[in-house]
Amino acid sequence: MKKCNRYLDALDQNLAEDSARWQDVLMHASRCPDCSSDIKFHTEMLEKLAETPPPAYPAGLHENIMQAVASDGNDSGSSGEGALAWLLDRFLQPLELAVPAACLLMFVFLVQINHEPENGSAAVQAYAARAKSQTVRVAELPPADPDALEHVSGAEVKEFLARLEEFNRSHPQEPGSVNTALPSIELVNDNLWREP
Amino acid sequence: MLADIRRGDQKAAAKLVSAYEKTVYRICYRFFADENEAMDAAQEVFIKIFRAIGRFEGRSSLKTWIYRIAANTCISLAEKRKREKEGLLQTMMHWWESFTAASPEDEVLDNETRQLNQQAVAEKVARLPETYRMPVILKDIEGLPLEKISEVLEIPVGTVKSRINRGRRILQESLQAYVYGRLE
Repeated sequence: MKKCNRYLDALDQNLAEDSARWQDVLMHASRCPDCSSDIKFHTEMLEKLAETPPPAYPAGLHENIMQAVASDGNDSGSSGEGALAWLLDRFLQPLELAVPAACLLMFVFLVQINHEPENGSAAVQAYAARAKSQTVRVAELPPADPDALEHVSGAEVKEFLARLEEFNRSHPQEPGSVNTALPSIELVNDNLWREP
Repeated sequence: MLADIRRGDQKAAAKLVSAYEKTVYRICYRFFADENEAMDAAQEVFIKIFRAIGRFEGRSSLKTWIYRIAANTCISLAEKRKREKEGLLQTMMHWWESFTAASPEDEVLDNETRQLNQQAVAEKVARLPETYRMPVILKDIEGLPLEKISEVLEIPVGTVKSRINRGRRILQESLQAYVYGRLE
């Protein structure tokens, strides 16, 4: 049979601070054998806790503590770390110097190649020389004729229009056809309005 | 005295240890219910105190500060021990306990003689989860007020109250199970 825990639950929820609700709990506990027993046990437990005697202090308490403190002071804060920590320290010390040195070296190298492109590889230099020789100098080009584009004869225009008309005749555009060459947005509901 | 300790005066350091060694050992013993563990913890507490005394600003009293170091040290040592125990050793211990467990007749006799004594209470307190153990010790055994516990543990008063209530609940259920032989 399940035990009633109303009193213990109320304690757990700190209902003792709410006098009205706490009275309800105590009223219930006065009628409930489980809760009455819990109250008795709780009171007894708190009494035992409060009466807990101090432990028997070991004879060498002061000496042991002073020894531990002194030993920690002698090891300058490294006591208790063991031989493994000492070994790791020994290995890590040169590494701590090597890592910043390597970073510094890399930085110097990067700065050097960025600011001195002439000192790059032979392949890069050859490519640069070839590109330089193939460069078209604008100053060497013949001067452009500003009237050259305006000289289109009437016969040329006529011929162009005749060819355009012939093209339109041979490629008639269907009335509902969609120009697929151009992008368009088509909505889902658009199809509803189209004739079948 | 603090200035002397900071200057490295050994006599002043010994004086501080003498003044607080029993308080620190008592807290540690109540937390672990084991002499060796309490001694280790007390030594660790004083090592931490002397390492950090240069940074003690006096915002709280020296006693509160020492209580705080003791509480934190006990909790962290307990967590460390728990991590170490979990694993193979724990499995082997359970296996061994299953062989050495008392017979049902012995258990019945034992249950009849069980009662709510100091030893049982102290052992069950030391088995409470770390979160609830220190608030219960400081409130119900050491008799510190809630505000002081809040200052020592650096948690709000409301949290202290709820941890004490929860800890007491766990303790009561554990003790009832022990006394009435309900679960154990």
